[in-house]
Amino acid sequence: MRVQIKLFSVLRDYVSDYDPQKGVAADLPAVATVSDLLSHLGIPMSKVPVVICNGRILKATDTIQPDSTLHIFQPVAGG
Amino acid sequence: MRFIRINMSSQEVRVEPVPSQYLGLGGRGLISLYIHDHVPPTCDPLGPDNILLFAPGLLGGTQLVNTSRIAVGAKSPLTGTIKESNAGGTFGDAAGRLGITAIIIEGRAYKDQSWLLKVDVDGEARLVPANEYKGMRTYALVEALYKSYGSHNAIMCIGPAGEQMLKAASIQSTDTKGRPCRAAGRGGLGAVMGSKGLKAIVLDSGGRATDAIADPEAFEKAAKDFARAVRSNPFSADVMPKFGTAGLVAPVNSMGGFPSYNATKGVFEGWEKISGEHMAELMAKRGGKTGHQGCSKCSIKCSNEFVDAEGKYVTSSLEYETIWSMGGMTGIDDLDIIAQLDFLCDDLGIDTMSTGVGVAVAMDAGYKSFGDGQAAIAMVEEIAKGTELGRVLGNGPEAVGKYFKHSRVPIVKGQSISGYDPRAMQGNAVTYATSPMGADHTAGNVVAEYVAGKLDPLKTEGQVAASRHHQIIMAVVDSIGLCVLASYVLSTPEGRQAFIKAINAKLGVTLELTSLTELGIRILKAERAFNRKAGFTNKDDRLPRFFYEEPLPPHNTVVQISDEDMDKTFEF
Repeated sequence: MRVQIKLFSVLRDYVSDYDPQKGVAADLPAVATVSDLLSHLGIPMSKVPVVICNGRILKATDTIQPDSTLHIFQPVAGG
Repeated sequence: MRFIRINMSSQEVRVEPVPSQYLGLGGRGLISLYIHDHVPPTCDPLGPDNILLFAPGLLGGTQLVNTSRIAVGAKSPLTGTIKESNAGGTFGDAAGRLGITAIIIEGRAYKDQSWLLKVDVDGEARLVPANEYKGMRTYALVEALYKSYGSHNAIMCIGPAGEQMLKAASIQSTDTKGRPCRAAGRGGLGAVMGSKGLKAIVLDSGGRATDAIADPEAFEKAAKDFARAVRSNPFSADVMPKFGTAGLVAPVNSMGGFPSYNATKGVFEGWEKISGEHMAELMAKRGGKTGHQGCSKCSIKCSNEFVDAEGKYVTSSLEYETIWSMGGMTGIDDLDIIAQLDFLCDDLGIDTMSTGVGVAVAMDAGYKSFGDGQAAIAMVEEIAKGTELGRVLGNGPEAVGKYFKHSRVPIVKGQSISGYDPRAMQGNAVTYATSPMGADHTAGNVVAEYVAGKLDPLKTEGQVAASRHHQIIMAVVDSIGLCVLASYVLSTPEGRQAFIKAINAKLGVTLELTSLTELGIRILKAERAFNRKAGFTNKDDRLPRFFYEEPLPPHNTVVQISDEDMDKTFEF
């Protein structure tokens, strides 16, 4: 399945020639979890990535729905 | 360890040892307990009985990184409650180095008199007539003060808004480049300073009289460990230096919690144009700066220097809360306009958050259209002119709502919420409603719990406990003088351990972490007790009705925390 990804903060560095306007598409197996997506993008767990879809924060084990748009961040804590 | 006590009525200046009951305290803790003990709770906040305090944190003036915050407090003219507001810059470190535990401003100068307080490198303090500076905006003021006293000083000052005693007036603090661009913005404490007849405090920043550290060797080790923890945390080490607090625009919008168009939507259509990522790109192109060090002893460098298309300085530092209030709330998706508004507020000495929200309320009431940047600038300029509309806007969103007869005013106890909508983050609903400081994210922001996946922001479960926890932690953090952006390492075992070891080495005690919790509770109890005597009850610990009745897109939720649960927040 194909999903659309938007990366933020330093996570943009993990995709070469990342276009902030368009984001990037990712082709994943028909059944894939958040963990699978992060591995696919090469984003290490040490960056503590936070994945948000439709305004909800997903867990690493959550299954991704086809045609989703996912936003990936580093953790924030308020300021 | 001394108090510098100024009686503005008599111009008497006294330097005194700190009374025993206040030893071992700093920042917010010291301020709140002192106000609780000495300020008549029902007094006029702008009258002679109110007391204004400036206190560095307990570790201000030490080598521990990110502990240069300066806490300011009084009874607030905006909220009517006890209020502590703290600022970055260089003042907290300078005060700590001079061995100052607190500067205490009492009484009130004769009408039309203006004074400044100067503290020399040896700690000698004196009041100097300041009538020549009356009416000056803060950038021109500090330039004049640096000419007179030299650039080796740290300054806190008020602008025209504080002199007019407007309820949203800030106290501005100089950054490492001597610009008055850091603010104790919340609670209208600039109006209290104006009411006293005090225009500025000028501290020599070269003091060598930091209070003694009981165990210097242990302190040094703990300080190194703490600095390492801050450097290795992804938030403080990655996100903050590159994007600053503006790095929050993207995730908060993505979570649907960015109050926009006067809190009628949770996602701002133009958020990518005002994001930290976009600002960083823009500054790289234009020759501005992210990763700027705005505060003494800072190892995070979250600050930025925003420049225009010609590379000319506009403001420092453009922060998340200002981008939210002047951008999302007003519908303005142009960072250049938002940066101009930020500068204008700093220069006039007024809170960017209350002012942005006030502009948004006026726009929502139909006075101007959402998104009209020039109208927003013109409205803020009215504050400097002292016009009727300027006075209304300068008195905060509640005054704006009354003026325009508009009921959607996102405030609690007279103070605007911050850039986290309580309907999309139920724990922040609890903090806004119950904090003794009025709506204020710095009093206990729960957002980290959501991002870490520990709590569902839209459900009621666990929200009261999370708010309570963060309110207690913040009372402690603001007493130590620690920057909130460094305080998040306290959620790691190594950060916590180093922090408690530093405090123990400083004081020569063997406190456990539970002792810090007890300190936080003690502070909150004193603040609540003051507010009770000032006339506040549980009924004041509520959000405006529209937060319970108007669903916020995209989640279409309302605040669901019951009154009974709100009232359990301080069941310690």
